[in-house]
Amino acid sequence: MIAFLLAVVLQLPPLSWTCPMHPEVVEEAAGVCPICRMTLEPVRLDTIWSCPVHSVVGQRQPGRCPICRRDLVQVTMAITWSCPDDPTVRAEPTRCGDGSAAVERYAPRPHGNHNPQHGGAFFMAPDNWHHLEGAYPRAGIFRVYLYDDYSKPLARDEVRRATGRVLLNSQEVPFAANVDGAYLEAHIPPASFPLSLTAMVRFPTANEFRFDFSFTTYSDDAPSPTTAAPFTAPVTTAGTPTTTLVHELHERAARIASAVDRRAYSEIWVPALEAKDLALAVEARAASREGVSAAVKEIVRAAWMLDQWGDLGDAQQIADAHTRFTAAVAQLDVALR
Amino acid sequence: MERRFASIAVLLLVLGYARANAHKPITSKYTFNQDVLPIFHGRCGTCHIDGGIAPMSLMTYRDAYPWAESIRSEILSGHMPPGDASGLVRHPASLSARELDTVLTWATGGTPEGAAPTGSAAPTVHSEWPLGPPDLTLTLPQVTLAAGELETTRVFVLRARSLAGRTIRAIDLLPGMPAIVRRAVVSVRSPAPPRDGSAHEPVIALWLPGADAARTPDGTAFALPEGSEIVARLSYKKTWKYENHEASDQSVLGVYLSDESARTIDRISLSAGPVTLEDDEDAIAVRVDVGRADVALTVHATLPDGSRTVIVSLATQPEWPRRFWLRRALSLPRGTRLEATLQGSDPADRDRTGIAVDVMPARRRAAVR
Repeated sequence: MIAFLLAVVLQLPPLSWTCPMHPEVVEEAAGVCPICRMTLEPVRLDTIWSCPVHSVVGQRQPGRCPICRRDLVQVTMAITWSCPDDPTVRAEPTRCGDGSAAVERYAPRPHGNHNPQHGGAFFMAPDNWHHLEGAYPRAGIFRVYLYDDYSKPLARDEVRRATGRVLLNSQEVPFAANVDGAYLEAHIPPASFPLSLTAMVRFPTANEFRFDFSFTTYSDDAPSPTTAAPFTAPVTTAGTPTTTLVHELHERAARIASAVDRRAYSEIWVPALEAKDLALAVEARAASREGVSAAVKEIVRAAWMLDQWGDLGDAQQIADAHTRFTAAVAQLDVALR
Repeated sequence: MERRFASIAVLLLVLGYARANAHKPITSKYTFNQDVLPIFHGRCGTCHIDGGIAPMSLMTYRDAYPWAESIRSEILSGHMPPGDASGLVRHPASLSARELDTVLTWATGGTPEGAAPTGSAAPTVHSEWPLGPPDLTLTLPQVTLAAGELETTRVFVLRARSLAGRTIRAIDLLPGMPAIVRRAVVSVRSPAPPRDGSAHEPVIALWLPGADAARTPDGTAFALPEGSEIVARLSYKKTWKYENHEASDQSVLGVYLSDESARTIDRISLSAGPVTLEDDEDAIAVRVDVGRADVALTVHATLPDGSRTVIVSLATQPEWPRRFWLRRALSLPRGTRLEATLQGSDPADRDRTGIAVDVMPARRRAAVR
């Protein structure tokens, strides 16, 4: 009760309960893990500014990393408090034995950080665990950095056990781990920008996955990472005529087509989700017309597929989803004629 | 100490609830209890319920949320709910666009729970006749799956003398243990050769868990000629919950009879290729039972005037052979060509065995005795 009052007064994020073995399990009440039945532990999750490379950095406001000067990015972290004289980790701030305030600590969460760490393109692997970043630091050199579920670099011997190859202009170039085991590198024939290539990567203990990259410039290893535009729902008030909604839908379709063409896959999800909201608004107005509901359902399905595959960076899957999406929009146009 | 907490208590009244909930990256405006549960209840509840045929229930938050990623994948690919089809057919389990969006938003947006409903305990499967009490029941023999035995199929032949020469509007199934009864196909083995020359026994009922039970349209019925037998082929399958347990079922068939002046229903098989009708017919249902998965199937009718109507369009699901009832009987004049097309690059994809259209004569005719 006291802890609750304290939490309310100090505006702490609410308590979550997580499994020590399965950090992806996050529940709202104490209990046991649905996967392994271990007792859940309390944790508070919040958005913290951290360095994309040095996750030990954490602070409440934006700024620059004190270690490498990169711009800080927002990541989800777990907050705890502890005192130097008492090893107990607490979910509330307290006073330490000497009267000083307990120290706030931030711990990363799995999938809390999808920011590139070497200026390249960052993807999640379809096994829902690994992450990967592809970078083109200078002509003829393509590198792939491998990460775990916390976006931490895989251990050297793991990187050395990973295999893969680059597919470029119907040529195949194998990867080799560099001396440090810090990344996999392939020496590709220099080509002009925009440079598109496909990497087939097999993580240790996983299948081979496909990732497609497109570079318009060399990857800068210490850039200021751009933050994605916040997702804002398009205005769909009752007064908006159907023709306007359809026009907006086509505008989003054009943006998606452009992103797919340029292989800028991180730019797909916002217009895709906006497009399906526009289509749903059209259905609300025109459901009685033959074929509208079926077309809108297909648009919704294809938009969510684009959102999913855009996150994984597989050009073939994205192309298939995009074909479905384009056909569905055409289907809606026919139904509304 | 007490004074300090007293002042905090006062502050509590002033401040109210603290901050926006950032405890999990929740981007979904839909919650389970408010928005998702009614969908699961309506579209998924006959199978995904305690005691139902599915491996897990989706009827409470605790049951459903660990499966969010699976749910997302299955409904996005169209594998669940099974039997999604477009065209002129009824498909009550099919998710609407908005329902699909709601479940996907919830599953990918942090699966928030929402305010729990007051009172009611988790629903369990209930066994009652969806079409009301049948005119006649036939109890099947008990079937037992031993511990470690996962599936079996049994064929029961029933000679119901009281049914000979009658016409039937529906045959339904009430499983004794719904968790293991996977499918039932009830057909008529008649002494006379079938009308369309095919060797198969006409199917009266194709029962699946969660499938829409339906009577034939008014004024129509299936014929059960003198000397016929009813053949019930039941498929049983255990989920992981019952793997190491013995499980027994005793199902009951319910027969719904018709009056004598009903029009009989015939089955036109499209397995050998397109069929051109020799008489005026009304199409009332399409049956699909194909071996290959995820093949785009379209059954369509080309009328004598050249116009083409798509009767049903779907992606095949071999695990779910199904009869789709049309929303309204479709008039097909003599000379109409019925055809099933399967799109697939593999020649095996185009195997049409198991595609049939149920029709009845457009002119009233005396029932077959």
